[in-house]
Amino acid sequence: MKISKISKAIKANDAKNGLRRILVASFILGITIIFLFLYKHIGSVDSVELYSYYKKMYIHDTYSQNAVTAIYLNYRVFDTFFEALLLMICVTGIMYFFKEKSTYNNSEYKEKKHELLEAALNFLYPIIIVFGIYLILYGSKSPGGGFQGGAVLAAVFMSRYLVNPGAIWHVDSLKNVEKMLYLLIVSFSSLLILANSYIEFKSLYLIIMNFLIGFKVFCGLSIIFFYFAYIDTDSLESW
Amino acid sequence: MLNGEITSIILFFIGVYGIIARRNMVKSIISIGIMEMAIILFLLSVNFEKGMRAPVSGLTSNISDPLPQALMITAIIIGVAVNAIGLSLFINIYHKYGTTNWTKAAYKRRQGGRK
Repeated sequence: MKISKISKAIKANDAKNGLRRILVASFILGITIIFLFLYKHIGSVDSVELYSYYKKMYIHDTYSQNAVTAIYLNYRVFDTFFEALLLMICVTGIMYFFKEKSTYNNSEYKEKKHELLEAALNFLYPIIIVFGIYLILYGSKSPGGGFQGGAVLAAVFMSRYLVNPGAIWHVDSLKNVEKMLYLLIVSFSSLLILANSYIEFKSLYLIIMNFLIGFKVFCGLSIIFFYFAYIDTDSLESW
Repeated sequence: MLNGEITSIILFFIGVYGIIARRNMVKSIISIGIMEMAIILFLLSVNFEKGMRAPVSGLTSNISDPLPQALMITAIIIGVAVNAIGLSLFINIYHKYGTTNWTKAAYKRRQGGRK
């Protein structure tokens, strides 16, 4: 009875909503035009000093062939810490929100197999693994890096899920691996002081940090994917 | 005429419109995603000129600014985290109140509990 009352109230609001949307749209259009006008007349921001310093010095300072890797692993490594921490907190939050066990059975998922998809993904997933590890290991020399490689590697579990949707996954162990990797990242990057004084150590430092970050991002994205994929089933061991 | 910065300003305000004018929770999350992408596009296209090259493989002259690129990697991962948290919150609210509408959910919450 209450629901019908609510829907009646919302229907009455609909007429008001049309007018409200037009008002909001015109208001935002005005603000957009003001901002475009300001952009046209003020122009973009110059960051010439920092840009020219990075351009000149990044190879000498960090031994990285990739300026982006040089920044996020050497000049601004604290950004990387807190970004990895934020991803871990996000994973913890998702685990907390999905804690409530549902009574849904996953037997109907088992019948969703698709043979063509299965054959294609069985062929593709070793290539995905190799490509992800290549992106991670050569992140300091060519385009790529830990974050991108980790995101590519997360596609492995997604393709495994598509091939075999009824399988049971132990997500808790992935979570523990992620925590361990975060601790390793924080403790290993304290060696940055060492890396800045010994030239031989610099490229090794970059590769190991990229590796740790890549696998941490891989674990985090895989856990997020599994929690969304199995939201209505009881296939996750940790539930 | 339509460079990255102008496109990103327009996209950002499309996202603002989606948040203010629409009452659907999924549409709000999508609008937040659009705003994130607009900010990423803006910061990547600041200080960029035609003919600049990617700052990789040891180039030191005529490369694009590496600082916003490094910061935007961080911003993309944070965007993934924000979207995931937003969607999981939405699923929780939907299980609790059975609606995707902000006003309906607020009304049911005032009435007290699951209906």
